[in-house]
Amino acid sequence: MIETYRWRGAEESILRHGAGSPITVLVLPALFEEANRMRRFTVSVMRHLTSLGIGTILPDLPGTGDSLTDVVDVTLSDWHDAVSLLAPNTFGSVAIRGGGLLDGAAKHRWRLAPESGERLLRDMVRATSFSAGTSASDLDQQARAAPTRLAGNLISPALYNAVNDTVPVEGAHTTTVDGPKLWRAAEPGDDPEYARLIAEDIAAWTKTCGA
Amino acid sequence: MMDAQAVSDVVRAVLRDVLSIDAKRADAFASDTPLFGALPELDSMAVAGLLTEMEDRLGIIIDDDDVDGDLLATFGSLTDYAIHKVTK
Repeated sequence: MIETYRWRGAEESILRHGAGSPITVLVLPALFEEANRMRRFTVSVMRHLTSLGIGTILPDLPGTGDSLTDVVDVTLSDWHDAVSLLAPNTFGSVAIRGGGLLDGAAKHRWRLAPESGERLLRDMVRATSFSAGTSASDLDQQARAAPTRLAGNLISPALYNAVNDTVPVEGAHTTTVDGPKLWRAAEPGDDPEYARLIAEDIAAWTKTCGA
Repeated sequence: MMDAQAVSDVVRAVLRDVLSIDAKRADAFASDTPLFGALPELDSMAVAGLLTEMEDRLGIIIDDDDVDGDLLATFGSLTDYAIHKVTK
């Protein structure tokens, strides 16, 4: 079910699964290019959670998905604002990769393979450097000063520098369930068995948090 | 200090894990097996992931200036580079 939330006068989409479930968690997706690679898997986990009695909402953060805002016009605090708007109505957050940089406002936090902003950007700089034949240090310098396209996303210096300086906040449960590193896979894929195990891990975590 | 064989095993494991290829295929990699341009799973984002993972597991820093098509041409060129980094 697609719903919307209002952010700075614009409507952003929310994908909701399991409306009416006893608890609902806020899903914070992987960021930038990894978001594309993780989308199917993320939605697959949401479906499994529904069958375990856990509702989920997956927002389009400003500048992502179907958002009418361009990502180049977005700052990290815009994303934090959006999360602060949505988190109070949820049990906690389920953050995938870079989503873990945004979950500070959630009451309870579960994460899959969280990463520092610096390392996320480093991967994107390296990927772009490798495909474009520009040196990584030049690209990094450029991205600090001017809007720069990194792995398909045009990113402003404000966003680049803020993400670069951000690490996930402490006080989260990082899953120990091992699986394929889908965010690295060239072909955006799914892994139904892994999605099921991850959903079960999230369900168990909600119980330890008192759900 | 890891020996050359141990480094080679780590590089093979990183390729298998990062690219999600099965163990049988990864085990068959020889020093002349072509990588970049030959493995559809190895696009530029996967290259970045591969390097990061190698840094973590081998405890090395890969100089960005060293990263080019030659480095990733074959399993042998990648492994030789890693051995050089670990043993120097």
